[in-house]
Amino acid sequence: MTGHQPSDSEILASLPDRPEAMGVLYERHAAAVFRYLARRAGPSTAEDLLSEVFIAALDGGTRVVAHESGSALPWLYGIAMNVLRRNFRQKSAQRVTAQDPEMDWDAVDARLDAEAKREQLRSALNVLSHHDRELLLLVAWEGLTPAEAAEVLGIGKVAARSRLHRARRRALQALGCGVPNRPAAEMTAATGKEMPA
Amino acid sequence: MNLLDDLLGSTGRVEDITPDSLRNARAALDSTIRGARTRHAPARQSANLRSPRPRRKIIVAGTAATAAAVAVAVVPRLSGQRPAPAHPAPAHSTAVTAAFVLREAANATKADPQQEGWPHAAYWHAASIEVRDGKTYHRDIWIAHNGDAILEDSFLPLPPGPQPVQPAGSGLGTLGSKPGWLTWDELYALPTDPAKLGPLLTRDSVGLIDGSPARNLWSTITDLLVETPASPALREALYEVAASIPGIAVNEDYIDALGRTGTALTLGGQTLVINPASGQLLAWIDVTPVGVPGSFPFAYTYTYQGPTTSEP
Repeated sequence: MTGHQPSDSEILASLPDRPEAMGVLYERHAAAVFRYLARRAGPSTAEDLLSEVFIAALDGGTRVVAHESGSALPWLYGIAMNVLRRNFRQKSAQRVTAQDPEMDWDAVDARLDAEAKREQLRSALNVLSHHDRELLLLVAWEGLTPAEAAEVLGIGKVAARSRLHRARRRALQALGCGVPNRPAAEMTAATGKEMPA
Repeated sequence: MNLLDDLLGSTGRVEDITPDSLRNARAALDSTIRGARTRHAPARQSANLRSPRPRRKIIVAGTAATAAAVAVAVVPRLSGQRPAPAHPAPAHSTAVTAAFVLREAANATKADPQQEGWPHAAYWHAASIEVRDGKTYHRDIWIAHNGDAILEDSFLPLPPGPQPVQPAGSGLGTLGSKPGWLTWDELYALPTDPAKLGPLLTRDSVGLIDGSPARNLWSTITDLLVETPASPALREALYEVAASIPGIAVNEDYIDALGRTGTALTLGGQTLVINPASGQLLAWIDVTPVGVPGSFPFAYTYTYQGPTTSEP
């Protein structure tokens, strides 16, 4: 006899009263959350932080509503994002050189076989704000829909879609020009102000 | 597959977690769960961690907006293959406010004659050029009703010829043109009453990181005006909502890459150049993210934006 398989929505609703239900979410989504962490911080850090994400998810104590897709993953990714930020902040405080607050580039580089590709990827992603970059990566790496990525980032559906469009276009253009810095004549002409350095 | 998707695809592949690591993390979680059950309280205080904000949902479902749409802002297609270079004029102080310009544009959009075939045209077609380092690059995009799109862009690292974009909603468009972009129907379903559209877009833009609520809203509005099949009624409403945004800088003497004079409206990193007398969008300049090393502007001059029945 097969027992009732509660949906993510049902589990999220029951969490404040039944913390053990987090174990069900873990079995369903731990692998995906691990990949999220590993893509940004490498497998070793991901192993260290995986349990912390689900423990932090228990911390809220308030009822969470699942995304309309029914999946708890967007919510878990949002928590994972904050866990990663805290981890990077702690690491950054121990280093002399500045570190990207949301990405371990060495871990990303390790997945590209050619130095040239590493430079290309940085050229494409460095022209994006951290916010827009995360939106792009949530869709490209985690396979979320724009609406689900909006849930992670706490923005609306229209804003997420328009931002995603702009982020991809900007990243592609950066790849197309091959150099990260280009003249700012157009902006200066429009505003009379110099581009920020 | 373009270069961006190739790079993202390569870096998106990671090894799965090992069974041992999975068990170890589960054990740590179970320990916390037992503690939580015992105390019947939140298991662990970690004030630095916050849950994502409550979901803000924009209502785009439902019936299409008024089908008897009014006119669409259409810029005559220019045939010249070698557009004149930009002749930018310096910005200067002006007594004209952005609100005045935007309301004028809204009225002009409303007054345009109805475009034959709209909104039942096969495609929305936007054509633009970008002048960089003395070279002119052409960009054409055709967006179908369901959000699918065909793109031809001489600037991008793409094979020659029109490139299909994956269907809307997939979130994995091959060209980054309109992945997951709103369909025509979804755009039609947005309210065209500025009193309703303004609060909706403001709410929808709260989480954006553009520096202020005004910049967030302006950013969303520019996105909805540029290269989208927004109906004339929606464009009019967008101009009206934009007119309520404080702090927009005005340059009445902007000359675009085609030699046309327009009014440049700038807030944060987003500039729209419009012809207030017709409501036409002449150019869009994007320099976000401001202050990030490596930022540079994208400036697109629009030669055509409107419905078409012709195939790409």
